[in-house]
Amino acid sequence: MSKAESQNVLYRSLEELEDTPEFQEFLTREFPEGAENAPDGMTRRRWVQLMGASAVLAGVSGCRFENRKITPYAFRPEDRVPGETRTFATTIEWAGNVRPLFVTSYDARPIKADGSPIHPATAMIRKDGSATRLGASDAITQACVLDLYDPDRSRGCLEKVDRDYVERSWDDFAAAAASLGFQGDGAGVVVLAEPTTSRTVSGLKKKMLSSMPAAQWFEYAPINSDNEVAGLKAAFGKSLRPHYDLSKAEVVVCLDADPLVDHPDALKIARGWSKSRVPDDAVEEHRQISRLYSVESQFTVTGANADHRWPVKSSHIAAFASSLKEKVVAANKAGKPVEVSGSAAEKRMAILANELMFGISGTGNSHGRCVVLAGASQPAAVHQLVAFINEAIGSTLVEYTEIEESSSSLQSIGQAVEAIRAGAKALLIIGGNPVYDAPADLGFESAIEGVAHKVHFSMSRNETTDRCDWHLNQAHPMEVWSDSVAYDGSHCLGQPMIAPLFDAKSTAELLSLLLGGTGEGSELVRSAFASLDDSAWSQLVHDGFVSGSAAKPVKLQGAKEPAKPSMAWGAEDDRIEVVFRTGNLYDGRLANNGWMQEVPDSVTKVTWDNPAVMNPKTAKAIGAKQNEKVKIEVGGRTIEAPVFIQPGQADNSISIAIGYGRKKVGYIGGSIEKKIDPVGVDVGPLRNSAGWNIVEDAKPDGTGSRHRLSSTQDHHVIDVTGKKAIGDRYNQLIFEGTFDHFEHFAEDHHLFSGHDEKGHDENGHDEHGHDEHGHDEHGHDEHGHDEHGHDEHHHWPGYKHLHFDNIDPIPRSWKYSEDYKWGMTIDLTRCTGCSACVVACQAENNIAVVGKDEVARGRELHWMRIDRYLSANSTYANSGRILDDPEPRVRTQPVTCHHCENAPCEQVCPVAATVHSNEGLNDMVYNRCIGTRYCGNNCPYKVRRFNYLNYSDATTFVKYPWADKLSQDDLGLKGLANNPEVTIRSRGVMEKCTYCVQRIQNGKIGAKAAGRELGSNEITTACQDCCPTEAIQFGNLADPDARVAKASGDVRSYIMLEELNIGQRTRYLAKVTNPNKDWPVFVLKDGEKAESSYGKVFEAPHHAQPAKKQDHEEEAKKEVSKA
Amino acid sequence: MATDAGSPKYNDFLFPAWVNKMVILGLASAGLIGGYVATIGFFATHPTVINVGHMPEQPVPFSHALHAGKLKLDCRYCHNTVEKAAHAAIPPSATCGNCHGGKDRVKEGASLAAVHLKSEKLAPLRTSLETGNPVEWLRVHEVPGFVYFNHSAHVTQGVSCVECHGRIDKMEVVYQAKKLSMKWCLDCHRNPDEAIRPVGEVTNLGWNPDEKEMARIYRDEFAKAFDQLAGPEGLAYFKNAAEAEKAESFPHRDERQQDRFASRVFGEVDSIGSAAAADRDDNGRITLEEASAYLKEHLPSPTRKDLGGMLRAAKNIDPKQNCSTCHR
Repeated sequence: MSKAESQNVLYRSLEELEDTPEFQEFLTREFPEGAENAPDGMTRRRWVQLMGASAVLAGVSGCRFENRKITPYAFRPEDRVPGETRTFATTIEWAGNVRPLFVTSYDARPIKADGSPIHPATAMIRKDGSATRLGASDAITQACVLDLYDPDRSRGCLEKVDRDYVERSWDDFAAAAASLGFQGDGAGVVVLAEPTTSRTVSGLKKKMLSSMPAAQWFEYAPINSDNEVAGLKAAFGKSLRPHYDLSKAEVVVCLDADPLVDHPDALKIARGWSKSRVPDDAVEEHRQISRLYSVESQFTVTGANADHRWPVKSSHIAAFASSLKEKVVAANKAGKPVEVSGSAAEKRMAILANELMFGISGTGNSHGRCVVLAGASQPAAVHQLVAFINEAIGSTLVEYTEIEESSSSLQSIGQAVEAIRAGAKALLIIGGNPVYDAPADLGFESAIEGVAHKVHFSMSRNETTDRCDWHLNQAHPMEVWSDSVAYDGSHCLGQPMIAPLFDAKSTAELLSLLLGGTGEGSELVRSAFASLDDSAWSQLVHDGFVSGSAAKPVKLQGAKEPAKPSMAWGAEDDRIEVVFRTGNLYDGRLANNGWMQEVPDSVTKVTWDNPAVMNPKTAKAIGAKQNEKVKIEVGGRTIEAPVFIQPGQADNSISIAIGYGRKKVGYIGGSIEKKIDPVGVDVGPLRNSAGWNIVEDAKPDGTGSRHRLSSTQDHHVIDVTGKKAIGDRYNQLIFEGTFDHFEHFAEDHHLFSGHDEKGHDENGHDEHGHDEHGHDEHGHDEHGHDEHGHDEHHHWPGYKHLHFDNIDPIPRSWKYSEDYKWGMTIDLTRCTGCSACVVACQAENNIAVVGKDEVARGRELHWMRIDRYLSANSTYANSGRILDDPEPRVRTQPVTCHHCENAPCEQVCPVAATVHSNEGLNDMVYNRCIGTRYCGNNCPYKVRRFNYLNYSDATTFVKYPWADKLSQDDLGLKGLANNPEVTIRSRGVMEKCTYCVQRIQNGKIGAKAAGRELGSNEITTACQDCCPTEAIQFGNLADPDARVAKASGDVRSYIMLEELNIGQRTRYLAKVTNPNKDWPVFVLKDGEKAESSYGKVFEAPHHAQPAKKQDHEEEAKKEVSKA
Repeated sequence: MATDAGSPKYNDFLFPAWVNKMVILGLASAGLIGGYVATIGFFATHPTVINVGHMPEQPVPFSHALHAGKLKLDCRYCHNTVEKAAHAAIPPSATCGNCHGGKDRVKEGASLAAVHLKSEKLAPLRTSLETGNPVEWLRVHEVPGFVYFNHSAHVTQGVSCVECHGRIDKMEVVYQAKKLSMKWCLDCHRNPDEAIRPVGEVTNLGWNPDEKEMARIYRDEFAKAFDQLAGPEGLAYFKNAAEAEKAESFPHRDERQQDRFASRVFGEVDSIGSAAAADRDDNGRITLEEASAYLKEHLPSPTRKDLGGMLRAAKNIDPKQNCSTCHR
């Protein structure tokens, strides 16, 4: 961390800055006040009833001779071993967005979804050519398996008779289809479908339209890339799709874009970006790590990871891009950098143009390694500008492939509504939920009222189903055969891993039925791959995609310049914009998914809500306060949303996530008929065809009514009070420094062979591929910290390991295993804070969902949390105006159990429920735990979680929406999602990260039974598997070939709170950033806002201990003289 | 108050004096009854009482005594996943159908053995084969849900079925023979030597070699292990940690394993070491001849414990006693 940012500057929330009583509570008490209180709404009578019931049940279950059945297969399929997991390749498609998956199935029941390790979109191939065990995935991928076991899923087809729904079979529908109007030439038939890339479905669609020529077919999805396609079409005259490869990037400029998370190809982009950020590789290859600029209104994950983030209103991005284009063109024409002068904004613009044109130094040659990206919510003109700029700077990081021509979703739904109003007789809605998410100005709901026959095909009854006469049951993608085309154009296959749980069909089967056929899903899909012979088909079923079928990039030239936008860059604009963003719930289809509702937003850390996010200045102007509601009016329609104040949001900009406020989805997301309040606010009323992504002129107004947000940002704060007493020597949790500093450090300490050879080897670059060996050659031991009392290893940035040779506080009567020492490393340079690991951990370890009120009490059970810190620069901090810094910086840090060798939690457990294993695991024995919570109080990392209620079976808790409402069958269905390898914890039990001990045990047993050694990197944790940037490494520290051993011996590795001397097994790798020293930043001078260059405000990092200070000053001097 | 004492009103409210004796008596009897209940409770819920002997009646009276005992079917003919999975799966009906099915329902037209085809006792099996629905067997051995037991981890390392299930091959109706309690598991995990036998004998439930036979098995197994571990190069043997330290770096995993084996078989006593030291040639390793000669002399009649210990050292079988060994 920089000197200018003292420890006081790091803050997590407004509450921390204001030091509110609530924050003090979270800080000083491990368990907030009232955490042990009975849930509201529980009467003594009810409690006594439950206790009575439990006592009776205890008596029953205590009896041993309850006969339990074992029902083996009558005919066991070949190779099927009961109780062993199997993995299948498949895909899941959401409205044209395709995810290639490997799904783990336990006794024929899918329990975990991961990215495909072989499909190029998700495969993680390392520099040495090896691949990760499973492919990358995001939080949504991890959570999709929960939808399969959603108790609110539809159980079959329904027909509305009078006002009630009556159960119907598919045969009933087939018989009724003709009378509903699906017959003859299809006159009056309107089909509104979700867009799909399935060739099976489009084949059937063509068939249907040829047999019913008068029928009309429209496609609509609320989340789409239409603006991008339109922009590229305007630029090149073709329907195109861009593919970004950031692995060789030098400078990346994002215009209101979040390519690291919110992009159809986000996993590949994130992986590429992280590769360009690895400092070791950069030093060896004699290049800098990439530099990321983000120009955006709302804080996105990409913005949080940017080296420089520039808050600009989303509605100003078009003007911004146009101005940037002019500067780039000017620089291009002149053949030299444009002059950096004028106001801060002008200087910044010139810096951006110069770096895009001439590379990271701003004067050299970029070799096409710079790129600009625009977000999907930006209008087509911005995408056209971006394409133009990318061509002007000769970017090689973006390639385009051609895609099929299609009309845009907004246009299409408009035409659909017109067609309906023009007198449609039969309406078939395939998937989606247009009553909830169609543009408000179209009046979709009222338009369809006049249609005589309305049929809705969906997985569960939603807002649209309620307005239709027939509900047809759609199968979950893991239940049926399907095909799709991935983002890269490759042909993918989806296969069923379980027969449909309820009487459900796939889209292809539905269309086949309407055409009078009885096509089986497998046959229909097979016919779409008719060109494949049987062995190629088997290969396809095995791999999940046809290898080599990806679309070939097209060569394009002469991007057309767009017309100048009406607004000039820098124009005064007092209007307040509202920006709609894709949040955790996607387009709302995940509203009933408890995992996605409860995973904290990456930046705001809010759960179970979609607040209106604005910065302190805007909030003050409109009279809005944190935890109060604000009324937002657009064109006469209003919504009321809770306010979340987020420093760093652009002035006069409000952002709010879509997909919330569902009124008819189920026990989790809200349901009017079940008397469960919607979660969050439906922003639908504000979204018009004209202002679909961005509303430029909204009228917000504070209402003063309270609304408590459940944000986890203050939960589990690492206590700084104690640290103050130790002194300010070890005050940092996150270590970071600049790449320049790292480079000098590497050179001074001869870290990489590359640097030595540079002097001797004239051939230069060829031989720098062996960073791992580099260390050894120079006598640095990479994995021996614990064995060697004094290691002379240097650590960056300026960090020395502390050694406590004579202090081993706990004499042990046992020995550590020589064979296995489990440990983990988390690379903060790679981590983007996307939260995929949080959901992966939840899926793997049966972590319960607790609900909004319980989260507000600090009772969330996530074993892994991602701490998010904000910081203002010191000039603002010192004058007590932290919130006024318009450009706070964000750091994220995943924290989970550190498996300390002298674990503080173990020493205070009165019943030995948490004890150490000889392989270094901090074991948790749930059946011994009596729930004193001493361990949680004594954990310095605050990673232990307590089951205040019996969240897992949902019968005894009252506040949580499912309480007492689910039938035993529904509970059983929910239970199918559980991982049988992990114990289900019940009430009164502590739990925490186990390093996925079930995987360790099964891995070891598997190797032992097969009579072989356990592979160096064979065992992986769930969080490690899903990470799109490979930030997490896990394995055996005693095995020198293990990646984790190498990573923990890295110069950047450090231990969080090492001074506690508790032998932490988890290490972090310090964060390396690559800021531009000349970038103007805002500072406070004499209480007034002024500008200064980044290099002046933020100096070289100082992590040294006071005792070593002198050395470091000398070192710093040396560096200065070198520089 | 003193003025009230003795007044009729006061005496009415008080308990009579003899109640005091009753109180003591009551407390004493409550204590006795409590103790009785506790004692009974303790013994009544003891695993030996509550679990051992559990013998549910199965839908098909399958006799292990007949099949595994008399007919000598190998356990793994039916429980065929036992070596590769956590569960020693109950066989599918199709396995029974191989002898009792008459016709093959997987391969059409093929016929199978037709033993007791008409037997009434086999009716549920025939129904299962006809309908494809499972036979509903009843569970005999069960550990609590929070305990994770893995068959393959035990069977592949030479722990016989008999150690946990008793003489199944003599049971007409299967019952739980052992306690399967935590202490019972740990007893063996702490002292595993006697429970380990050559892997080939794992399903031989009656395996009980006499002294001579044991000596032969021991030498055979030793030679096999020696060959696998050390090969013609001989065995590395660091008698103590200091010696190991002296070796240039910490010994490699393979050498550590050889050392473990050698010190287990030869003990810390250095007779083999010094014997070998005399002719310790270039590499200071022990050859198979030296080792065999030593064993013949010093261990003329090895016991089961010796055999188990040797096998354990040879294969680095190290039963863990961590909590996470069984609890996850």
